[in-house]
Amino acid sequence: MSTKTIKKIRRIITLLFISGLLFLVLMPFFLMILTSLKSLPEILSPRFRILPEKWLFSNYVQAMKRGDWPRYLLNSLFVTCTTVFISLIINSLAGYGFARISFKGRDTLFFLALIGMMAPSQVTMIPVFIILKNFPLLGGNNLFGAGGTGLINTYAGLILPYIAGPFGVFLCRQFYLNFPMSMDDAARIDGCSRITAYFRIYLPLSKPILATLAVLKATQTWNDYMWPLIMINKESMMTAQVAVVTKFTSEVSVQWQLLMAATAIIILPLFILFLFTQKYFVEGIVTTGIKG
Amino acid sequence: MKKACKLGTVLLTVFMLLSLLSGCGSKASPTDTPQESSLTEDTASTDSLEGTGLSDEPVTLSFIRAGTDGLAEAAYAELIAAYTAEHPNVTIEYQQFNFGSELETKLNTLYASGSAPDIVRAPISTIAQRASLGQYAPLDDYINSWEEKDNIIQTAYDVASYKDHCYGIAINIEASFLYYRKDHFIEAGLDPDKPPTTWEELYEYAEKLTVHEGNSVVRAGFSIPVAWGHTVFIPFARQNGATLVDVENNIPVFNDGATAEALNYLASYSANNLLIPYTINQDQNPFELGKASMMLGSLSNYKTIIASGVDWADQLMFAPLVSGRETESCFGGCQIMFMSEESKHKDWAWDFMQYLFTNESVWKLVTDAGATPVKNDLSGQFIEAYPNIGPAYLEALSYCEGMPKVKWSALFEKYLNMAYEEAMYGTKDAQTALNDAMELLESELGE
Amino acid sequence: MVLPKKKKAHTGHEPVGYLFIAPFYLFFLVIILLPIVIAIFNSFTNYDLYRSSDFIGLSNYKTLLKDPLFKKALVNTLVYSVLYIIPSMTLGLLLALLVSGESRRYQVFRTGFYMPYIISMVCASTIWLWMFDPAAGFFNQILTSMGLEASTWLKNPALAMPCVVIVSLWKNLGYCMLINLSGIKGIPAYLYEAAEIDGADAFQKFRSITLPMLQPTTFFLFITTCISSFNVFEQVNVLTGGGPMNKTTTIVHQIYIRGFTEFKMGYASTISVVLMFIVSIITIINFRFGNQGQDTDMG
Repeated sequence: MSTKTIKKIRRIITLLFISGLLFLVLMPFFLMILTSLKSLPEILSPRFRILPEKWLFSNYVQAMKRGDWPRYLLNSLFVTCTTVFISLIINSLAGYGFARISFKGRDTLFFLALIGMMAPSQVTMIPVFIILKNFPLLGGNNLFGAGGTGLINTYAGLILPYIAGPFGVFLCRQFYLNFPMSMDDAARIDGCSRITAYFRIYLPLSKPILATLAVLKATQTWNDYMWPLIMINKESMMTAQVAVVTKFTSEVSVQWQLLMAATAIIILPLFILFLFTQKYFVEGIVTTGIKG
Repeated sequence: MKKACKLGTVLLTVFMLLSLLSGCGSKASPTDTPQESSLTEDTASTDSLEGTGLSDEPVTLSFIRAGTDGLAEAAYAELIAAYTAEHPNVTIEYQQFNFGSELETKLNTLYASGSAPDIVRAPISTIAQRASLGQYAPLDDYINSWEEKDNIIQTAYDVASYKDHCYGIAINIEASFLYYRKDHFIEAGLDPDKPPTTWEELYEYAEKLTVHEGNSVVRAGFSIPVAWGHTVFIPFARQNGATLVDVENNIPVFNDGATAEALNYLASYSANNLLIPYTINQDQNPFELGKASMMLGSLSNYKTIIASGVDWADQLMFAPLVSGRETESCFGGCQIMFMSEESKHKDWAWDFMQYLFTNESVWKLVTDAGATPVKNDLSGQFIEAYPNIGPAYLEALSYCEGMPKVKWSALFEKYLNMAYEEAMYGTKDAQTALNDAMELLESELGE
Repeated sequence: MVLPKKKKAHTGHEPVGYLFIAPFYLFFLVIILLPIVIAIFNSFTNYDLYRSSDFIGLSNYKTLLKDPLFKKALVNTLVYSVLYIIPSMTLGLLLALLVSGESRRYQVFRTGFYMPYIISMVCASTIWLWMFDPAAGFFNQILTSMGLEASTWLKNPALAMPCVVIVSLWKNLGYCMLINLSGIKGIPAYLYEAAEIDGADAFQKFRSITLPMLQPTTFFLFITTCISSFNVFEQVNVLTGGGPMNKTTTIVHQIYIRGFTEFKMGYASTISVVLMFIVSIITIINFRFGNQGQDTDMG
């Protein structure tokens, strides 16, 4: 057999392997979609049939009628977009700072930031809540943070904890570490300050990491459930994730068909986001801008 | 391929958007009143502003309810709407949360940050802790001057009492009793009009009703949980004469012979492969899924089964759990209306609570949300409306008991369940499991 | 005063660095670090989530040393971490390599493998709870139809933890893949071209170019995976509730139980401090001895 055929066979085997794995990985999803199209008695019946008896697309409509879903989705959308936007800016700035610039206490400050990722939310959520509730001069509070409700029930209260996380900084730092020193040297020789170097040289090259960060941050924020649960008391400020859990699960019964339908709808924005950022994850030609 | 993918995504999005919009257009939000509310302004809401010391000023009450059942949500929304229509200066912010971690997280954050809700409807398990912490307000004065006081069944006060004070009134008492399937009984050659009346009979029936496929159980005879089964274990222990907790002296006493015997009895179901394993609070009871013939349940389970639309609901039969041992006992989980000590509008909160306990409100909750009739006046009406399940429930109500009311009831629950699980899994025999659990609990309490 | 430039520029001091990290650090200090400090302080008290918060010194720590449930949780968390970290990192890298191509079909693969990550953990656990259901769950249905014995999966003390690990692996595959993809994307192509000219085959290219160049990425992935596996909670809470018989309770699960259901927030804070300490040690070791990616000079 020629090398070409061997290569072809290897390609096919690899493809089969990936496809098989993909099928296994997506199987729970197929189950979810199929469940969302069944009726509740059918789901609960002892006999398990894969395909629905009747394809109840009406489940999706019914799910959306439970509460003010356009509002919930809008809330989630607003919080997520704002979080991602601000995170991209401050995380890449900080990541660049930690990676390329030397300053006193840099490594200690960085390690301290990492500690922020290690604390479990169960013990910090109450102090954070109290801090945001007693935030001075906002939400009816006086200078000492008393009297009003601070940032509870506000978008700012929801967004702040997400943008304060060090995850993105860590990610960007690793990315910026991989550039050769000669780039900084060349920039300095050309008379660029660090700030100019960042905006002129590094930022344009940061598309892959910014895309990655955007996707990850969006996913984490969109799917978060604990924090909106605590911060929000008003129905009109509820986010989609909290709504999914409270509207369709109860102590009486879990409405599986509606739960799955709502979940399918919620996944869609993240799915679309990922599709649109695809080209940044593709192996391609990367120029360093130094050689040649 | 690219075009097809993009087209597919676009179509999918359009479909989702359409469902969204249609939901938007005709949504039945909880604040709508879709059907003729049985509660209109002419019902006897016994209070008027005169002589109650309540002012006209705008007041906002926050009301947190444990439980997210959609039917109850709608019923409460209607009650709230009717109340605020009569008292336009009052706004009620209503939220509901799932039992367990959601509710606890929410309540804990609110209390810890000084934003206590005015009214809370929470399970009895919270009372010992929150009352002793001072989060709940004692209501003795309000209740003693209430004209409906004697119309509320005594159990509703008893379950909400802690250390000589009454902290709330139970609005829902889930006394449990035996559920069983007529069709399964007939199939197994048992008489559906003769439900089991002793432990031995219960076991015998269970054996006959269990269906195996190979080695695994596909239909359990008597479905009890393999973990977190204190709501089953406690009544059986009490039936056998055990007290489990010495409330007077504030110590656990559950490693006695009577409790061990009860645990051995329950463990024998697991040991002889008669169960489909499930955990309370995590999985649904196989009975509700049609995979068991008998179970212990309360009114809410009935609502669940009806709501799920299965076709065997008419085969349900009910009987009080009779043990033929020392005494009769069943477990009574309760939902209690509490008021927060930190509430700034206690008088209005009490006014609203009174309204929720009028005959009409209670009856509405019974019919719409499957709640229990906690008024003496309503028991006749109840049996009339629910002839099949009513009698069993009312009898169970007469001897139901909940968790022991000690400050460390959460720890008690944890360690009792530890022993239960170990016995059910067969890793320890009942007495050893109970002894070990007692030791651990005592060492934790000892600090 | 201008110092002569050194190759390893770790000794310079440019204050503009502070400017770059300031926006982030400001938020971080108030919203993340301050609560951690409060939590550490709480660990020395008997804070009960409401009124009392008396200083009790090291008493919580002493109790922790004797706590059998904490010991179990510690062991379980270690078991989980080992079972989870190794497969997820290797599988993540493998997948990223396989699907990094440009053609359309790779786009489908990438999206497909990422899908589990975009579901919330609550929803994912719900679906898997079902598949693992002892009575009529999907897996048991398949087993019985093939004539094999059904299993109790999550209710089986021996199988419960592996099941939880499988759910975590399934869910986070997309994350590991994504991070590796962005790392691979950053490797200059001319390196591969040069290797090709030198006659290197695929495996050699992988070993001498891909792997070394991925060091910062691998380091990142290892640290974040470590942290998240030591902090595992959500899936345990939904899938097993810590059982059966405490075989799957983890450190954070204990924190939750103690803090929220038993109102021992002081004690829960103590457990968190110990947890943070353990994870910090692991991280520091990695910083010292792992290769986190130096300033490379392609010279």
